[in-house]
Amino acid sequence: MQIKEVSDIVRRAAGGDEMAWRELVGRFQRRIFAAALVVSGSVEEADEVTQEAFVKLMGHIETISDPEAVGAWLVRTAVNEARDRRRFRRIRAWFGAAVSPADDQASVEASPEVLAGRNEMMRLFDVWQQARLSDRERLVVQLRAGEEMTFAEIAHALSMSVSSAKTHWTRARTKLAGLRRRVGKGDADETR
Amino acid sequence: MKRDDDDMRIRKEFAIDIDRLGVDWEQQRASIDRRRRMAPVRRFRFVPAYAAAAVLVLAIIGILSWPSSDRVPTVAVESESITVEQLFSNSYSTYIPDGLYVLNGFDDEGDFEGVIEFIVPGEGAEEAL
Repeated sequence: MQIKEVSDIVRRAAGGDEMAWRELVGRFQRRIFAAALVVSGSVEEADEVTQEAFVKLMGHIETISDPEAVGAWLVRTAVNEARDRRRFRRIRAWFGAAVSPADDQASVEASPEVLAGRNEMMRLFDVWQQARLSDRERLVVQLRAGEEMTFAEIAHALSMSVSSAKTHWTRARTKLAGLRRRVGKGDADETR
Repeated sequence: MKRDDDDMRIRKEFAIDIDRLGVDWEQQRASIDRRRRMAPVRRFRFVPAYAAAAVLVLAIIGILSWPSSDRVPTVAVESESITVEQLFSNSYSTYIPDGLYVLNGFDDEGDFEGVIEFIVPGEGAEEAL
C-alpha cells in the first residue's frame, strides 16, 4: 500500500504538484540525511547533501524508471554526493586547506542538549573508527539500527543483495562487540 | 532472542540518534524548495549547451566559406621576378600582391616570353614611377 502511495506521490510531484513535493521531502529527508551524515561525518554537510539530493531528483524525476524506488535512488545519490565531497575535502586537506568535519560542528550555536547530542555523535564516529567499520557497514548499522529500515530496504538503497546487507550487519555487530570486549578488558586492567 | 537483544543494544549504543542533533527539518524543507525553484527547468536546462553548439557550427561554416583570397596569403611573391608560367600556374593564381610590375621579354612579334618584375609593392606604386 505504501509502495503504491510513493509511486503516486512521485507521479504527482513530476507533474508539478507542490503538495506532493512536500510529502516526498517529508517522507525521505530524514533517512537521506542519516545516510549522508554517516559518510560525511558533519551535520552541516549532511544537510547540504540532503538538499542536493532532492534538487537532483527534481532534474531526473520525469525519467526515473521505477518511481517506487525513489527512496533508494535518493539514498544512493546522497551517499555518492557525500563521498565526492569527502574526497574533495581530502584533496583540499592534502593541499593544506583543511576543513575538518569537527570544525563546523563547533561553530554552531546550539542548546546544551544539541551540543551533547553532537558530542555523542562524534564519540560514535570514533567508536566506528576504532572498530574499523567500513563505509558500508556504518551505513547498514545506521540505516538498520538508527532508521529502522528493513534489510530489503537497505539492500535496495545501497545497491546490494539482501544477504550482503545482512552480512555487513553481522560483521559490524561482531566488530563492535569485539571492541566492547577490548575496551571492557582495558577498563578492568586499569582498575586492577 | 539473544540476537534481538544484541540488535537492541547496537541500536542504543552504536547508532547515531538523529533526533538529538538539532536538525531543523522545516528549515531544510524550505531550503530544498528554494533551491528547487532556482534550479533551471529540465527541458530548458540544455539551452545554453545547444546555443554554444550552434555558435560553434556557425563559426566552422563561416571559416570554411570565407573566401580564400581574404585569408592570410598562402603564396607570396618572394623573388623579385616571376615567369608568366609561374604567374598563371596554380601556385600563384591564389594571391597576387598589389604593386607595380614590369614585363620584360616581349619578342619582335609582340609575344611575351620573359619575366614579370615586381618593382614596388602596395599602394602608391604609380607615384613611384
